[in-house]
Amino acid sequence: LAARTKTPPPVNRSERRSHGKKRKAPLALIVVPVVLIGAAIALVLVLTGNGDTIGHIIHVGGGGEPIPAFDFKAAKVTPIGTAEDADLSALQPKAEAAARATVPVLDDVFSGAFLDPNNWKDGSYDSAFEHFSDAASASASGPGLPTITLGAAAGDTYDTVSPSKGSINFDVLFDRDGNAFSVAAHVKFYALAQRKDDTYVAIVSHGVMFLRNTGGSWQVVGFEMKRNDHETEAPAASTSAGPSASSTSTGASGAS
Amino acid sequence: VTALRGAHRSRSSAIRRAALGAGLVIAWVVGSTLGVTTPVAPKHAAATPLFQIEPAHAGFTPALDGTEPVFILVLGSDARPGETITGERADSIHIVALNAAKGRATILGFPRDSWVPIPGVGTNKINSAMVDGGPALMVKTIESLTGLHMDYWALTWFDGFEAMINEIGGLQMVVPFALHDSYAHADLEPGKQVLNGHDALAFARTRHALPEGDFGRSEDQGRLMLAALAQFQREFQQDPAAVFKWLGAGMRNARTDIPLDQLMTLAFTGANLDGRHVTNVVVPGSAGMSGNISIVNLDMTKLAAMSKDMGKDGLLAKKNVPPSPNASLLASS
Repeated sequence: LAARTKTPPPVNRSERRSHGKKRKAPLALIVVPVVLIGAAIALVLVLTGNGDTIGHIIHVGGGGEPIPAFDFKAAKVTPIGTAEDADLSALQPKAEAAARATVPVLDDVFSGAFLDPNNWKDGSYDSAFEHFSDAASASASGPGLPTITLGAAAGDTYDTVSPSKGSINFDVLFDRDGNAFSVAAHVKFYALAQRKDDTYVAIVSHGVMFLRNTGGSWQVVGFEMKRNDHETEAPAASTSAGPSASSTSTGASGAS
Repeated sequence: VTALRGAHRSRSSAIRRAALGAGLVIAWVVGSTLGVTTPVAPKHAAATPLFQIEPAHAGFTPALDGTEPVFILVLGSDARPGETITGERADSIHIVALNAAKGRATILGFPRDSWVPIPGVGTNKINSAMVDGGPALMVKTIESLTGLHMDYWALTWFDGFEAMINEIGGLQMVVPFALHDSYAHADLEPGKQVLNGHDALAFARTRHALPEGDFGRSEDQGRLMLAALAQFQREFQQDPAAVFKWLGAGMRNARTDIPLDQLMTLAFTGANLDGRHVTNVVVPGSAGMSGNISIVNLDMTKLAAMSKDMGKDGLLAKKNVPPSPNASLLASS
């Protein structure tokens, strides 16, 4: 490869023409199959979800860097009725459905806030706040930014960030007609960040996010979040050769 | 010709670079797929952290922030089990005025026997307005009496109040003086304690043990509200989702015209109120008779001044704060 990229020695016209002719056919023969094979392998992996080592990379953000896959695990779901004759056992399945509906929203929020290198490398987290109400977004992207996200200077600090685990307990508040009105999501999110100096930080974000059902979609309308990051040791065996895929050692949590 | 040659060289170079890039991508994909790994020596955190990590907190809740005060008429019905909640007398009557911008509030109590004009009915005890027209007429009566516009009303009753307190796990409060009143089933010693629903209701009902009777009872009912506010704030600090528990307990055991979203907003606002700046007062007046009916004649001059003051921002200036009807008990306790 190094020889191919080296500047060729001066040659006369005829040599140059013959040199060009000699190179033209092999290049085409190399490039086309290589691209086709690569595309085929990538297609198979995407369609089958196969391959543990790159299974953590689910999609490519707007900036083009792969985003480690992450799914919160939904744990306990508690319905809270407001009708005088509220029947909690009847509300339980509705509460679980509401909780399930909010999980992808929170997956997006935390992926955008902590895991998407297209965000944290630039310190720009707009995609993390897409599911926020205007007022909540203004607070989160303003004074709340260092807590709600990896921070404005994360790109100067970290090399990689990979998810460890995440779980949510839900309180679901119902209106008097038995409709899920609001969800309080007790979130625990853990990730592992590798600094540029090869030290590691355990990213710990926990607290409550309040969501409201706004015309069929769930929106974050409030939050009380804390960060308790701390120094940590490197994973015992960092095995992946892929960018941002060092999460293989810690593993993303199971699907919700 | 030279330009064409240059272009040809440039294309060849681009193709080579593309081939190189594609080769690297393929190598990475294939390598990853086949589980090819690169051994990496474990790294250990530096003994002295190179970066300072501090715990951090960020909070936002959709609370009120406007300068316009919110006025809520809070009522307690005399309805016993089996009776119509909105069709019995309102024996507990308070205006709660909330100034979100200043983080302050006022609780203004009205003695139940206050002899006042009731719109469309005539002059009668204020608590009878609920019998004649439910919470809506109570609102009209208070509005015509004070000139203050009530934004909302909320109503609980004996069983509802008791259940509400039990469902929040009891109410921690400082009972300011001993209360022994067999009529109200009260047998309380002074001091900090957690009242269950029964005892909290007894505290709210006691008047025979108070020197100023219903005036003192009305103030004590405000005292219960303040204790509830303090407990809610403590629980909110520990777990903000506690707001759901309180909303659930409140709504299951009360009736109100406050929409749930507004109620949630009010609850978040309450979480940030400074309880030390909530003024708890009762409209002053004196006991009297109308025929053979014992009544309370409100001090209309003072009520007018208090209403005018509260109309500005929901708050009472010091000069308009009347003395506590339980002052003598508080002084001796």
